[in-house]
Amino acid sequence: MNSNDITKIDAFFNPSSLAIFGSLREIMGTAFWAIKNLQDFGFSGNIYPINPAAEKYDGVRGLKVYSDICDISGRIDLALILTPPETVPGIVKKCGEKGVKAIIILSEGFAESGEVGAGYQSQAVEFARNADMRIMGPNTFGVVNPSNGLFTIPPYVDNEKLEDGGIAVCSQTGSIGPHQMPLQDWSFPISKMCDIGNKCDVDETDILNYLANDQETKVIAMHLEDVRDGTRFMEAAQRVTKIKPLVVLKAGRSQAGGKAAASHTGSLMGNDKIYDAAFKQTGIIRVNTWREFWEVPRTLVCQPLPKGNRFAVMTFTGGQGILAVDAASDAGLSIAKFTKETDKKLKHVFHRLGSNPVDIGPAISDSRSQSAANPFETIETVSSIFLNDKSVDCATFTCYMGKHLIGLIPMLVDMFDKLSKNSSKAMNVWIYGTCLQSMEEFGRQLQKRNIPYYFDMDIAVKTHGYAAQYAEYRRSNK
Amino acid sequence: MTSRIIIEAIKNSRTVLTEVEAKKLVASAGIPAVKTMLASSKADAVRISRKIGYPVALKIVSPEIIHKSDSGGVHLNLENASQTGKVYSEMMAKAQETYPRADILGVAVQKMASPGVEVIMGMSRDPHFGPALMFGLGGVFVETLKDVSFRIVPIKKRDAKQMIKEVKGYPLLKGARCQKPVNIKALENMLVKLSDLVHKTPEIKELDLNPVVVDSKHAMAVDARVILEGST
Repeated sequence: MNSNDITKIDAFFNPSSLAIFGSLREIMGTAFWAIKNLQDFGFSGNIYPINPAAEKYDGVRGLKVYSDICDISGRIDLALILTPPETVPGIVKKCGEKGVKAIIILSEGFAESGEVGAGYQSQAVEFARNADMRIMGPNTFGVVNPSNGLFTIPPYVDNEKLEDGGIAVCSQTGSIGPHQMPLQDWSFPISKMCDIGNKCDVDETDILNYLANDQETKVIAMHLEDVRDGTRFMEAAQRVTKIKPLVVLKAGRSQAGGKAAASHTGSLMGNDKIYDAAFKQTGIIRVNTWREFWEVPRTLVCQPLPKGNRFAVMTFTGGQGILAVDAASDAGLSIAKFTKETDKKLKHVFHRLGSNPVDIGPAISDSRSQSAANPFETIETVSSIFLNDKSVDCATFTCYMGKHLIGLIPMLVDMFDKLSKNSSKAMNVWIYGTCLQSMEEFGRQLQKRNIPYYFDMDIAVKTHGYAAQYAEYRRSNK
Repeated sequence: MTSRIIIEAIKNSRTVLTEVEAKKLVASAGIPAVKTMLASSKADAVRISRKIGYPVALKIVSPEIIHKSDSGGVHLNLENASQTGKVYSEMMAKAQETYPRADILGVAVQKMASPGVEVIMGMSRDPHFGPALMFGLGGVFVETLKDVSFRIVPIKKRDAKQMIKEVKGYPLLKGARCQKPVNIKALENMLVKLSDLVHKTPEIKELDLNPVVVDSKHAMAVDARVILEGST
């Protein structure tokens, strides 16, 4: 991607000024509502509402309304269009005259709706190409950037701010956006979000190329229905995965494969198998469920990549340990065999400790034992001993949380924080227990300190599996 | 540089290479293929068989006949000149009867492959990603279980390694049930060379090496099928 292209795509995420075309009626989903959202999220740039009946308005939410974008004296980086399809090509042409860099067509009723809409869409693209502008959409919710308050989703009704962080989320549908998940409650750290919609111009590869160089983005999570240009996509993905993890949820897995072909190979080749091959060859982490799409990036964004696939786990019961071992084996992890030294140190804490999985239960509940006198100290000591064993690459720690333990959260968070800071190993925490409210509070505070948490052991362990696979790809593609 | 075999076929508006041509094409790309020669008479068939050594296999050669074995166009394990001569005549007569309008060039004579594990390799094109390679174990693994793996061309050595490891039948290659492990490196080399060939030859639309027979020492394509672009 050359610097001109990067500047153009950057205008979608970091505009210093934006014009917004559409109805100023004070209802959800209109340009008015989009302006309200931009203000609520603290958008740092200038906002210019454009409406043909500008003279009717004596300012909207404190902003002067213009009837023509060319009447604005300052520079406009980004235009948001929320008007009916038939008006869009004309507006795009106007934006070109004004020297706008990027346009998001938020309205729907284009190629996705039939021939007439497709006509408006291709006209809009032609006008944009002539004026060297880029278009995102149509049929999109646009862009979210927590670092500058850019938020273009017109029907959004909450105004809670998102956590500014390292995960970029790009989707091909509005149903993977900030309004679909309790991201604030999760302390889910977002660098950028975008919905590329109909992909009339900007596509997944443009976004990948841009995010590859985006300093704020540490992990990219991408939802795809298809890829426009396979070769170009693979080249971009290869560049990205050399520097940061790329997690992909590819929809349409179950579509029937195979086709009429003269060769055996041709008849066995299905669409999804080809995507799968392309993802494997470029080091993409392919997740298969909506849940994994959100859960897997949380470990990748804040923990080091494991140096191998040797996994250790600490649980409160032996049964949990056996389940964790099963989950690890499903995730392609091997169970770390502790060194003799670790074994000795663990036995010194409590005689029944020593092997992996580490069942901490008896050590903190056997009243005859010294280790049960101060259970938290025991957990901390044991965790630190085996996490720092040289035969361990990644670990999951189990932690119980109940209503009566809510007061202990700060201490537990400090403990895991210290453990993580003093180690170069990838770790996460599986929280289980009786009280959702305290579990959530515990998780949120852990994530804020860059310790990923999960309410589901399988996902916690699987995440390490994905990370180890990716790390292996990175090592073998140096 | 486009192979002369392909130029010749395109000139004659043919989109399917004969087995003899297909094997020559892959062999020229460094992919080991069982030596196969075209016999256009009974005497020719006997002479070639004697030269390459018995036992031999005979297969009908015609650009119009793709599924050779369906029409009695394949005979294996022929031990001597009289068997070979007899099968040649029968095969030609049967083919002419079944495909009266086909252009039948003769019979391909090849040495019987030594026993080993049968695998399949091939290439087909995807509209978004271009040519892709396939690998699988032969027989029931590919036919019924569809136990195959794919990679997009061009592939690297590590992709070839993974493709082979990925199929569920992989333990058979590693030497299950007291068998010697097969030469997996030879299969990897074949896949990489196949990738190079199809990458450099956009005229090839689809390709099958089926089977490739591999033992502890060698891997060799026993049959090859090449379909060129332009066919429907």
